[in-house]
Amino acid sequence: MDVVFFAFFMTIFALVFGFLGYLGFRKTKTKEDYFIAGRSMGPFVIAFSYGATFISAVALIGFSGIASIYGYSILWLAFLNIFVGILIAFIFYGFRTRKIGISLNALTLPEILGNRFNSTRIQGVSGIIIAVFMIAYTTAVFLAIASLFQVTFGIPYLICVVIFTIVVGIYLVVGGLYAVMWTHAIQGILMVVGMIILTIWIYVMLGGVIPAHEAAAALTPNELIDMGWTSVPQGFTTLTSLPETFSPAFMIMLTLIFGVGIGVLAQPQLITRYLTARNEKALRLAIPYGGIFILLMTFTAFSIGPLCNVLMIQNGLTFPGSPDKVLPLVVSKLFPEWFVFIFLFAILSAAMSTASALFHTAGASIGRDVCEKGLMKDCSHDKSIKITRIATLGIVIATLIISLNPPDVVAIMTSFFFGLMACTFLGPYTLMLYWKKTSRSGAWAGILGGFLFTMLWYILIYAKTSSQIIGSSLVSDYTINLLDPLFIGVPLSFILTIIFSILIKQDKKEISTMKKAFENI
Amino acid sequence: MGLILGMDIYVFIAWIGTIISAILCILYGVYHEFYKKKIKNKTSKDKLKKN
Repeated sequence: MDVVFFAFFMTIFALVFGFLGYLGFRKTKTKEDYFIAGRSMGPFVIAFSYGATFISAVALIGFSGIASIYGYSILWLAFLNIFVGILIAFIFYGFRTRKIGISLNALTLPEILGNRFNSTRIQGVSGIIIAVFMIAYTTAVFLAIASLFQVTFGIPYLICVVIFTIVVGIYLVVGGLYAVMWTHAIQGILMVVGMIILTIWIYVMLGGVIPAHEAAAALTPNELIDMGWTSVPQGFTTLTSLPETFSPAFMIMLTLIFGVGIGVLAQPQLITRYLTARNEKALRLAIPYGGIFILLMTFTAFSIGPLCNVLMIQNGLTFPGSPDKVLPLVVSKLFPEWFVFIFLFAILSAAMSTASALFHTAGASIGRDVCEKGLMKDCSHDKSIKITRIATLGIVIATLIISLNPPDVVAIMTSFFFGLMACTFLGPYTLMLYWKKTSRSGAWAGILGGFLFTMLWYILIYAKTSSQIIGSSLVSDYTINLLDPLFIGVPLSFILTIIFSILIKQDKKEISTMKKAFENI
Repeated sequence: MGLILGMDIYVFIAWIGTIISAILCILYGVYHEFYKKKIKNKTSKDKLKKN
């Protein structure tokens, strides 16, 4: 890899984003501008920003690596990514969230919850939960991308982390959500270009769709072990068929598919995108753009994962030791250098877009939800923006410090974050949008019940996380210890919210804010 | 079991389901942008005529 060439393009990349940061700074005059881009975004930018936030580098590289091990059954996740992540999310959550957000003058998910239930405490606690776990999640995104660049392209880890943080930090802190969303549009285009070329190229190399799939289907466990796999997952059948029902491989797929596929509905960084729409039409037209974007991201990444095995065997490559390194290995060894650059920047774009959205949401949670609303009550536009800029900068610096010397537990945060947010917020958030009788007590019960249950499940039961936290899971049966907490946590959170809303009804103030929330629906 | 496009039936359903979902997203946009607009325009024209 020509480091000078890489540095040159990286500088151009940074300058373009820096310029967008400056434009964002010029345009940012009010709180609404900084937090939700002045509610002025059109369908293309909303869709690409939503997609680029949703699809991180971990999703592209990590999940294509998982597809290379578990095969095409992961396509069920691509299906849910579009069907639930775009269609259901926008139609059943997007429009109502935007309308209620406007009625309640709310700029973040915690603020929607806080204003709807007339409780700055709900807003503050939700803000703290989001910020703390988002810092850890962003660190995990940093770790993944920096390790990838180090191992595959020989760029030192320290340089990767520092450059990455400085570039993202500058345009984010200065330009607010305007800069974040504009850069997302550019990053999204780069991601699309990279993934389309890569997918078509791989299928052409293997003689077309059917020959490629048949070649993957024909690979035997022995051939895969000869290539370098230590063992074949228990329950594995072939790369183009489902694993045996309720085998460990099946449970891992089930957890991943539903954990991410359903968890997407309650991600604060994605919910913010609904609030940025200039009108309902923009949100409506974002649906086709979003569907196409996610199709070109997940469908392509998951489709080429299993084919990487065929390419590696045909070209005498050995398994690189970890699924995350499969796609980078194939690209770096079998593709020309000009495409390696495009791929590198596509992956960098995916990482930057997710990281900037997470930083912005975490900064808003601390600045707006905890400090401004919780501690200082209301303040002027300038002061509000200043507080959030400082909070965001603090979060960027905290992430950088943790990334330079990360504790072991951080690495597992990516598998943790989606489930935690879904179990904590999906119940109260959904009921708040659709059930007028949802009360403050119900919301508290749903949020705290879902949160505590999920934390306990991850610490004590879930095999992947409990092994890193307490040594091993308390339950030995893999149908339980490989089950994502979302399967129990989300229904539990819904049930708690409903029961406590019935038991402890809304007071007069809550009823009046509820009426205000629903006035445009 | 026979393969469809090189995949077993359960994986093929996911494969085709993903593409159909993306098409649904496009149809949703097209319907609201063009078809529904047309109906809306027609009804407002009819109302004007009546007046």
